Amino acid sequence: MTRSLRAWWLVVLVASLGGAQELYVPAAAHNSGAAGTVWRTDLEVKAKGDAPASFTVELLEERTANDDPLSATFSLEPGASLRLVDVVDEVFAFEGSGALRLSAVEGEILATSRTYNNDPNGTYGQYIPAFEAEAAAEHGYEYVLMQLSSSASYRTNVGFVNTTDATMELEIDLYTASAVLLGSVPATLRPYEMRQIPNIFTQVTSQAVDDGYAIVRTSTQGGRYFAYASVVDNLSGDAIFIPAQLEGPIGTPLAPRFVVFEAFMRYG
Amino acid sequence: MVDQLADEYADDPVVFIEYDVDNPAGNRINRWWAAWGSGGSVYLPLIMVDSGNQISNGSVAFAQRYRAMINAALQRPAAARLEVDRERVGNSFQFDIALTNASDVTLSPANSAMLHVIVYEEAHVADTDRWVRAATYRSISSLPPGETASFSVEIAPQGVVDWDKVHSIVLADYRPGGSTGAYDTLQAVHE
Repeated sequence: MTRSLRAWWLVVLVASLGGAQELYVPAAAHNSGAAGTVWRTDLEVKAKGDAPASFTVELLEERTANDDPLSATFSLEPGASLRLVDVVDEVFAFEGSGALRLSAVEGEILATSRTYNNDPNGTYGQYIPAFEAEAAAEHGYEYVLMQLSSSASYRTNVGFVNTTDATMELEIDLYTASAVLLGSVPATLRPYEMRQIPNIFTQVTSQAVDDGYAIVRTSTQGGRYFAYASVVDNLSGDAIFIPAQLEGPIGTPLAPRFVVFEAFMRYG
Repeated sequence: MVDQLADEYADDPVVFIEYDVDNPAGNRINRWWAAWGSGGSVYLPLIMVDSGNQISNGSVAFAQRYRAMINAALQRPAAARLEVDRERVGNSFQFDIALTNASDVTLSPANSAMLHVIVYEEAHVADTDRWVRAATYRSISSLPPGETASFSVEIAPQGVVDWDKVHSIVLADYRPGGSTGAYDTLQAVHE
């Protein structure tokens, strides 16, 4: 784990390879959450195909710019996989949450993760994929997070990862399942910042939302990001991970209605 | 009175035009009658906004009534996008129009959807300062929500005195009730 020279030579190496594979795990944690939950993340990485691989994993800490993130490097024999248990603590000695960025230095890699509530009676986990960087949401399009709930039984946390080196503005519109707009929540993400907004529906309504969705967009030209929701059972701490899905291009706003006042009169 | 309102709404997206009720250009007057329905007595002037979504006739508290109609119309959202390219060719105009249906219904002959081109001149011919010189229309064959259709329309206004004072309106409307009831404007643009 170093922030200094290793990161520098890796940047040089990755740049020299050009188009090196980059994956994002949008959420990872080693912390305590609401309702007595205790969150941990295990990361699994496999060398793709019959070739060896090496990769760096970087921690994009929550609520801060990550121009120089903590990083670590690992190697994999051909066909081998590696499980990094409680990766946030064991690899980075960090308490908190963030996103993980994996960069292949040699070969290609596949990755998955599980973030779970480490309950003494057993774990409740949510599978969180590792997304190719090219799959990030982009400016000019809207994305939906659906199957959301906010009530005494469930809470909805939404999270974002800025995958660019520029500050980015986000807007999150929250709807009921019947498409009633409850309100909007703005967010500003610094370069490579990960941000999770807990219990987001409570920012726009005091009413329970049994079924709702969120529409996410960025107004920042060139903005790229990952968005997700985590819907947590308040009683058990069980969570599901919901990735953003493409809703469609942002429509050009309609021009105001032009009113034509027509009078039929008698000439002469 | 209408000219006073035109001054009052000069900074708003509103245009005031006048037709000869005995020889109206185009088929716009049909919209008034569709909104009226049948029965009763009708007196001049016949007034409509939004293709008959609101109408008036005869002697009323003109300013108050017309202002209320306009203000209500201004509050309503558009339901189409119109992009218009107009070119004058001799004594006629060539219009190239792109209409995008932003409503939630398919526009077609089943709901009498039409595209209108109206040409008027800033001229005090009868009662007001804007006199319609020509109007024509095209049926919209089938345009589902979100889709765009293109139209080419040529129109030759008659009796123009000053071509520099000739303006045009392109307007899309349809009949929400299908074959009955009032028409409604989807959107209009003015040049």
